[in-house]
Amino acid sequence: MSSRRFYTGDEQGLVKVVTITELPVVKVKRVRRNQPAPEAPTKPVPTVETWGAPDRNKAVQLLCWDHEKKHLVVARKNGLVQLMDPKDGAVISEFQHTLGKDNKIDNFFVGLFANAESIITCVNTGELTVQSIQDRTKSTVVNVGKDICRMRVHPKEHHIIATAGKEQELTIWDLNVLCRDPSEDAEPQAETIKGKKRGKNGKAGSIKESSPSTAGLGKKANGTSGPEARYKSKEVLARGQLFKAKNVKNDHLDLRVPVWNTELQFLSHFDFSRIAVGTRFHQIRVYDIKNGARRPAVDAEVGEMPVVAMANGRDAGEVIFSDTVTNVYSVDTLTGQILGQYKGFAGVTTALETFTPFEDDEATHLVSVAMDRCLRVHEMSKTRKLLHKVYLKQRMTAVVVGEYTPVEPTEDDEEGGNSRSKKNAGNDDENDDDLWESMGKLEDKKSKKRKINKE
Amino acid sequence: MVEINTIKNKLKREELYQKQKNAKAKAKRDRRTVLQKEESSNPEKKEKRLTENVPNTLENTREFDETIVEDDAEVAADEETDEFAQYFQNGLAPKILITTSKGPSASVYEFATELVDIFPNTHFVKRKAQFEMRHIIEFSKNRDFTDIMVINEDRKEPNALTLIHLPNGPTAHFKLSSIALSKDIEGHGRTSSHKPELILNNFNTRLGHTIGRMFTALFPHVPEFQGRQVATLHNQRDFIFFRRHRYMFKNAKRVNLQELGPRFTLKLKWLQKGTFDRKGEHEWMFKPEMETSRRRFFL
Repeated sequence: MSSRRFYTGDEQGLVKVVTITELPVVKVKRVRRNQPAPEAPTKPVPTVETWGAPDRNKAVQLLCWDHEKKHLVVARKNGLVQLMDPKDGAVISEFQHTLGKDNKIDNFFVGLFANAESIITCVNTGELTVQSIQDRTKSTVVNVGKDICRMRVHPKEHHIIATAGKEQELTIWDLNVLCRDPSEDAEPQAETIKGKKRGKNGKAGSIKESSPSTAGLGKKANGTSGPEARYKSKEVLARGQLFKAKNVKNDHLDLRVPVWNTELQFLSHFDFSRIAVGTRFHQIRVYDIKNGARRPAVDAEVGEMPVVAMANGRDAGEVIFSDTVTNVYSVDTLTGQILGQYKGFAGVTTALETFTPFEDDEATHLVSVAMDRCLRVHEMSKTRKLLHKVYLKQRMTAVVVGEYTPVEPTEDDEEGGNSRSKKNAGNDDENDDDLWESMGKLEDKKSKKRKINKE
Repeated sequence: MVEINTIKNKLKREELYQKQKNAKAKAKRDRRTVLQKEESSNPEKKEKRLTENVPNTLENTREFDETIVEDDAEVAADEETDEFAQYFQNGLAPKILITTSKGPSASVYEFATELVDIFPNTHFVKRKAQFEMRHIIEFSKNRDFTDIMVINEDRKEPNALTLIHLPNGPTAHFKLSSIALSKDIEGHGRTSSHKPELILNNFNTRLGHTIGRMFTALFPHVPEFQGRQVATLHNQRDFIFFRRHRYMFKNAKRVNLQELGPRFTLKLKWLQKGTFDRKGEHEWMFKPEMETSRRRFFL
């Protein structure tokens, strides 16, 4: 039996490890009419392991994996960011951030990411920190604007980050430019301009004037035209920005549409051209950066309540989001239509993630944790069946998918039967031998019978 | 013997049916008198019968619920520091504000008067149309209120009760039904201003615990026993029944109860984290799809 681990965080500051054991896939044989149906094997009980002591000040706000899932990164309410060993929950190293308060309300983490070298965190005040893991003293703090509701880092290109928030349009930043010292920045900038645009004096000059601000886009939009030409409005991208979205057109009363993005997600692992954004005003918007438009390519109103959490679907054509009245919908990112709803939730789903349950299989599952203190696993097929539900005793805030333990060969010998054939699939020689042996026996029997008949 | 329903004469059929019915009733009566005599001489037998003969009800055949709390250290630690810790740990006395929906009708005022009578240290405030809930919550926080109760009405009858715990929530919304005011209860007693005792029944699940704690935090810590008044919140099949009585000792063994009123029934519709916010996050929400069985309960 294979098993999958999930790591969850909750309001009490506990990190729980949920191990769900999947039953071996049994092919249903055709049963004769009068024979009793074969008994369904009993569902194995998920095991829960708890790390840490209850403390509300240490409430887990975000969880993520670092490079190659070596460490679990935990962002806590008191500003502590910890690196944990996913095997026994030992804290390997920790970094203290000061979060502070705004209007008596504690600031909180809105984004967390880690790779082999550094941890990237973002607070709702817009304070983005790049903390080196090896060198504790080495950290860069930049501001990406106030009232940020979500920051995400592109899963493959770690220097691309996206932010969005209250009255903060979706913005894509280039960390390489953003973290560089502005004084250093001026020189290489000038060089690139010299190299590329020598001769076109007028244009190069105009870029120079608005200089460090266009540094990020300089690489991407090279050759075609300057950013001013691309964006017709007078708004110029700030330093380090690759893209800044523009508010949708005024409504039918010609009133400005308020902006309050609550959640965003990169749709593709390979490039950052398509990004889905969920808003407090229950819209799902998809920005297509490649086609040059700053307004969303898809803008659809779905449901009736603010978007809380969002996850990628089976492919780039689907996102899954939850709202504040405990609904979880799957939405088509090309048309903005609701594809279906996942059922079984009693509280708000605070975190969602999709994963492939078996490494060689194409099927995907959806894991979610909710305020009703449960972790749920849904099938992402047409039926959207609830596969597992684990009661975890706390209001959950974060979940990540852990490692997959495949079928253990030692167990299989005892079980025999169905699993035995699985084991044999691994080594072909034995398999063949068995086959020939069994055939040999059959012939013996027949020949015996014949002998008897002859006699 | 002839089957009664095959007789074609209606009068005859009726006559025979009545005879049969009487005979059955007599047999039952006789059986019971015999049993009663036996049991009066032998009380052990009665005890045995009562312990063995337990009828199946929806409650005792309830579907298994893993969230039922039984001496759990983790849940205890959770409750120690939850939103009600100010009341339970630090002994903060409750101070309640009762108000209505906008433009209330007479029956809502009547019900509000009864609620003011039930909970000590409550203040009724007339709802002004210019104040939204978020304003009222802010004002109440500034004035050190610990709870807000909002009575909602439909067709001039109270139909919902919203309970907001201050300053950090949670907010619970109940459907309100079967209201009987004190004056409608026959033989009701007069209430006194003593702090009542409180009985909470069957709040067993994790959600039930939260709701139970929420109700407990509405009453003062130490009741005034000389008042002999008891408020009861009894949960049965997710309906919370409110009753109020005065107990009167007849002698050392027997106690009489006098109902004080009012009576009403609550049913939880949703529980929200934090103070009331239309767009806030719901910790628990009832949906018709959750009603998969008559034996499934949430509180």
